Amino acid sequence: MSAKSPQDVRRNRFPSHTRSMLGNMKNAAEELNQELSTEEAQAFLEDQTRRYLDMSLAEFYERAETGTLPDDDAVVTHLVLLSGAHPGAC
Amino acid sequence: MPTPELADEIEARSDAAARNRYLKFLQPSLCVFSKTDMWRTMPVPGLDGVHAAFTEPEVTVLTTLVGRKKGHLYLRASQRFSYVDGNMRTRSGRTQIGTARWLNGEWQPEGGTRPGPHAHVKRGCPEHRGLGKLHIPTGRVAYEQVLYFLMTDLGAVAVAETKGLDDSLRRFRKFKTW
Repeated sequence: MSAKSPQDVRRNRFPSHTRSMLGNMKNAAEELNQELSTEEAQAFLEDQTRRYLDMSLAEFYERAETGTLPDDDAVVTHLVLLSGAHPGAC
Repeated sequence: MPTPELADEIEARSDAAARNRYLKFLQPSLCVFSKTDMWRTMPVPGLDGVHAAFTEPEVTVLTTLVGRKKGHLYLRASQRFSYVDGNMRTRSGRTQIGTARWLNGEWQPEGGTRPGPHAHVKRGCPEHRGLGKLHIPTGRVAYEQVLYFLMTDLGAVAVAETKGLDDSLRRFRKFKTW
């Protein structure tokens, strides 16, 4: 019987069903870490501006452009960063 | 097989790998205060090549303990970053994360009215009207340093050991370029 190579030992460290389970867990973790798509990002921002500022995302961009967003609100600063609205807003 | 220390030195081979490494160090810092909140990333609409990291949920609730008095702090954090070509900065053909802008430091490299890292204090506090409009220079402040401040000065209670925070801050100091 020949000695197992280090590669064989590493490959067979876990039984097949455990390897499969680990693979699924890795896939799930990667999926969780995936970046939002542009559409998902827009939807997320729309939800945030409505929830915290009671305005649509379009209105948020418009008010950022005209410098009429509240300038004493940390949420505004946060959403300017995430949304790419005009940086002069803060 | 590189040791974890040496693996830090090797630049990621793709944007996705660079992002995963970036989150790999941000997440344990957040986990010191919350076992369930997590960092996510998104493209910043309208700004080509610019991405943002944010926490989900967007506000992390921290328990504070000052003397025997319990309270809460509410932490909202986000960062802008972009993928930097290794050719331009370090070694060839690899990708690394360059943090462009931090909410807690509020740096505005794209051309705000104040071009350096700064902080606003007492924003929205009527007793200190006008103070919040001042751009107080800070230098670059790491997210991890803010978390340490919350613990040491404001009594935020850690729910996990702080090793993740230590590791992330060490890495920040080692690799920061500005």
